[in-house]
Amino acid sequence: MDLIVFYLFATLAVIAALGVVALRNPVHAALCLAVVFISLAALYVLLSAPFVAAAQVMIYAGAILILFVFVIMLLSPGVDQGAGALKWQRPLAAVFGLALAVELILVLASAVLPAARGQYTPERLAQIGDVQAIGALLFTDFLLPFEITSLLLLVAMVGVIVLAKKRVRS
Amino acid sequence: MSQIETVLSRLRERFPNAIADVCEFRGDTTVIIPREFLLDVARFLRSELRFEMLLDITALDWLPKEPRFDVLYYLLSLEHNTRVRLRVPLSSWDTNVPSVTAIYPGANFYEREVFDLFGITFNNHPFLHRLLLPDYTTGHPLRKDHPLGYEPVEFTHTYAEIQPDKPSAVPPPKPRRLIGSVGGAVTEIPLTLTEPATPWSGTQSETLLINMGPHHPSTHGVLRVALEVDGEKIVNAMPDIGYLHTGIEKNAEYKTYLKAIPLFDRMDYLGTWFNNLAYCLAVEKLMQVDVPERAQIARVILCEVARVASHLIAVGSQAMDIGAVTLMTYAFREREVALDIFEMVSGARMMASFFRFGGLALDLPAGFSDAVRAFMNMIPGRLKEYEDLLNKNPIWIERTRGIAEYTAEQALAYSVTGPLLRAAGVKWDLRKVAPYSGYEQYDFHVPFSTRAKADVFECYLVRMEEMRQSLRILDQALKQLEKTKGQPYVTSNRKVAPPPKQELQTSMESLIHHFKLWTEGFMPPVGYAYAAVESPRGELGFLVSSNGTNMPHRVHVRTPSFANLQTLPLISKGYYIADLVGIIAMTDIILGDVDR
Amino acid sequence: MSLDPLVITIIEALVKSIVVIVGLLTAFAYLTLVERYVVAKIQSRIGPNRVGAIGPIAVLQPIADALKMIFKEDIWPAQADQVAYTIAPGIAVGTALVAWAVIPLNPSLTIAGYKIDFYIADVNVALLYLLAIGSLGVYGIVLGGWSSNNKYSLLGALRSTAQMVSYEISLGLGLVGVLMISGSLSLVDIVQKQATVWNVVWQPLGLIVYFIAATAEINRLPFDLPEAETELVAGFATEYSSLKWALFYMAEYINMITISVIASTLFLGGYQGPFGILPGFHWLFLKIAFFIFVLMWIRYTFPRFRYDQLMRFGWKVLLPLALANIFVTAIVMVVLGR
Repeated sequence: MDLIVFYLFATLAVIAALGVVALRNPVHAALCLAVVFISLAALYVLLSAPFVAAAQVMIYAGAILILFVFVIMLLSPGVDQGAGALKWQRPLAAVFGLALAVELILVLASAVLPAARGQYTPERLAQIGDVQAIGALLFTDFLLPFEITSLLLLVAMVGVIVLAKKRVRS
Repeated sequence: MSQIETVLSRLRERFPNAIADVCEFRGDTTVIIPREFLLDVARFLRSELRFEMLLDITALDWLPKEPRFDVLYYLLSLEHNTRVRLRVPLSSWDTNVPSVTAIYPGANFYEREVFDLFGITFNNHPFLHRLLLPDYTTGHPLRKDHPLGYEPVEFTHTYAEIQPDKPSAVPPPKPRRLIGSVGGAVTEIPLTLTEPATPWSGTQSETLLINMGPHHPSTHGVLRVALEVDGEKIVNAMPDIGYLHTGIEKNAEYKTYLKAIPLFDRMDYLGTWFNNLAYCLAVEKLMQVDVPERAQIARVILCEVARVASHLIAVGSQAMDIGAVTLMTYAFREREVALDIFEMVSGARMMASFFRFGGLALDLPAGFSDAVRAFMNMIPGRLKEYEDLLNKNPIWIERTRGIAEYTAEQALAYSVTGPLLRAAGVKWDLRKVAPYSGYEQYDFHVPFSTRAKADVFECYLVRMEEMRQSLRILDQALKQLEKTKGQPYVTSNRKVAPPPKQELQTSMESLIHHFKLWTEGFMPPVGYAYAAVESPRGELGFLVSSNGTNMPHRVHVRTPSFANLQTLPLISKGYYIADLVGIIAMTDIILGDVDR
Repeated sequence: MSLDPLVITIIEALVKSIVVIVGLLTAFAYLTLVERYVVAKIQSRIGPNRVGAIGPIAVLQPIADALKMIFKEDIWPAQADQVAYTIAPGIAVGTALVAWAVIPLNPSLTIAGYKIDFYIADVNVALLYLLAIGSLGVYGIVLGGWSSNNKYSLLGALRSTAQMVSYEISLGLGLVGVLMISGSLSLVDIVQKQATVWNVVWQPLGLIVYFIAATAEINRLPFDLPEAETELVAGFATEYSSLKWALFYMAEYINMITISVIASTLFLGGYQGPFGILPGFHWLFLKIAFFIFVLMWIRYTFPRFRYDQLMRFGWKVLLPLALANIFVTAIVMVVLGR
């Protein structure tokens, strides 16, 4: 059962991801990205991480991507005709893509599957709850990174406001 | 020395050569000036003699006489409560006249209209294009030599005309141009079906062009506004009118004076009584007919009921446009009672055509006073209900306060009249300053704003208060009406009003009058007369020109909506699309009144 | 006869889904009728009284409306983006329906030794699930507006995105207070913890913030800017007709029920009734009806916000209120030592 669902969503995710790259209309590409996010969320659910799944949909598909779409619609760049790309971009992309693929294969081949299990096994998660586990970890072991992240976001926000304000004044 | 004499003497003193002639007719003063002096005289009148407002521009065609055309400028001084008309004669081979838009910005639409309908060119006009008629029209229909008859229609059911392979009998209509602005400069944009709807990327500006109307829920009829927006902010809003142009003024030239009355109902269809009244007043002025007291009181009552009904729609539809739909249904509920009164009186709910030259068509029916009283007693409570819903509602206040701000100077310059002018702080109401139909005997206030600038909220307040003042007038007028019971409701002047039926059987003279009136009508003396009333939208004036025949030589209507609409680009700039619908509602335009 | 438990689970889920979907669609149809009567009453009109009238109530009106909608011409604007234009209404309705998977409607019953739960799935992050699905709903509007190739639609879509992103934050934060009290994200748990006292007693501000934000989220007046029929003709739905338009309409009404049911569940004790009288579902029904009535009441009383005012209200009023609510709740909880 789990396996069927996994393959279903995995295939969907891969096809949609290809769509993001291949489709010429930016809005269509963004839509495909949304499908990728939702498929990934389904995979998270299979991995007993419903919190991450919900957060994935809510934040990536529901907020960030919507802003992407907003900007795309606002600028309406039209359908990309493939023109304007630099000549040497394509061969270079092929080289790097190939390198990345080789790298991935090497890593996957040498990795131990499944990886080592940590403290939170599915059984334990079912017992104490997924959200509680994440919450506890965030506010104990990972408190510093968590706070640094919020600081970073604040910096980004201030930066955006400064940039936007400047434009208004000029 | 009266005001007008002072004006004339100052004019003569300043421009000894400019005044070709001065003519007085029926109390109106017309100064005839050659066109070379027009601009100087206009500038002098505006700056020195305080003629702040250009009420109207129109033209007369005196074919086959020469000089064939008269261009008439009607100026008003609010300060001195004086009106003067300038007449510029033009010969048929040289129909150029300088534009006064630089002196009176409100001349813009008027000059375009005269250009459109008479083919008179106004030099240095900023945007001299046809206003009411489509661009592909040929000829100028208000000229007397314009051919009448078959007119190609844009939609047809005739097979031969829609068959594609045969040469069409009717040339396909060209698309109407979108008159708009890109990057601030006024241009014409060809509007084709293939134009992409995505943001305006053809130019370097980042603005979007939106074609708002003629089929838009909130343009109060078939108004089209070419909108240039930056995001949602309005950079420019150009009203494009003429979609409801029905040639009422031209039609009136081919009807006897009496038969033209129902035509004018169709203009301002929320204030039909005012159209009737103003036309009747103009013809009465031309014919020098006296109106009996009972008819005058009845006219006042009916008009004030109509004013309340019209303001109800204005307030209700304004609220609806801003999103408070319920108020619209409330307003229509109240208006229904007013319509019942109209139906009781005339048999028609909207297009009453009830006023006649010298009085009314019929006496008022039994039970009329009670019906009006019931209406009067109902309204104050309902107005209170509206105010409870709106006046302290923070969303309503945010949506109306400070929106569409304009000053009194701007309003005067753009020929704005009515509640819009009063909301800008100018206490000007024809019922007070130039009373007609016995308004001088009623005690009422003219509500006006005390703020420096008018906005949507002020206009709303002014209209609400005007309704209350109308009720006061109604109360007094009803008491007067009781006293005149049994008195005549129409003039005894047999030249304009038919004799009563019983006279026909005994008097030969009456029979002749009756026969003449119903076959031929009456023939006013040559000349023109202007009469204006305070309609719910402002000064509604009729200029009736006679050439001595039984049909008007020309009827021109100075409609308040037409002038008020001109301010739209001025007052909507910098606000949002969402505000524009509120602003259009604030101007309370009736497209029938604008396009005629 | 013994079936594989997996098969039983699947069958059970299927049956429940069908029941919920059919129930929701019927509810949608009659909700339109109810709204027409409520509006008629508010606006001192009569309302529909012709189609299959029993007394003053036109019971068959929704069916007539549906038939009319089906047989209307389905208009495709020239140069519309065919794919997006077609799937947009589907997304709108789909997300509206899928949200109902986690909502408990009644206490569990045991019939003939078989325990029936009145929810499709008890997800332990149910609330997050609802928020996530809710945030996807905007795709329907955005795509519909963009793909119609109409400037009004495009403006509606733009307004919609900005509005959703702004109000979603307040929406989520408005609920956090309840989560802090309940200590769970599962709706079933939250309902059960309200057996004695409803959350609204502790979280009145939370309810207000949530309800306002939710009204904005489902585009009801005074927040119906993406549609704003007096400004943008019909906003994102300007070009839609026939069934596609009906689907948008359907999504709006189902969302109305959804936010009412969430408000009832989180703040008014869900299916918990005060004195144990009446079965659970009746209580939930009454509470939903109350919220839906409030939604309609607001819609026909207030004028519409302007775009910038809406944004200002969301960011400068609603969001600080929601944060203050969380702050105060946390302090009180610590002080009380709960």
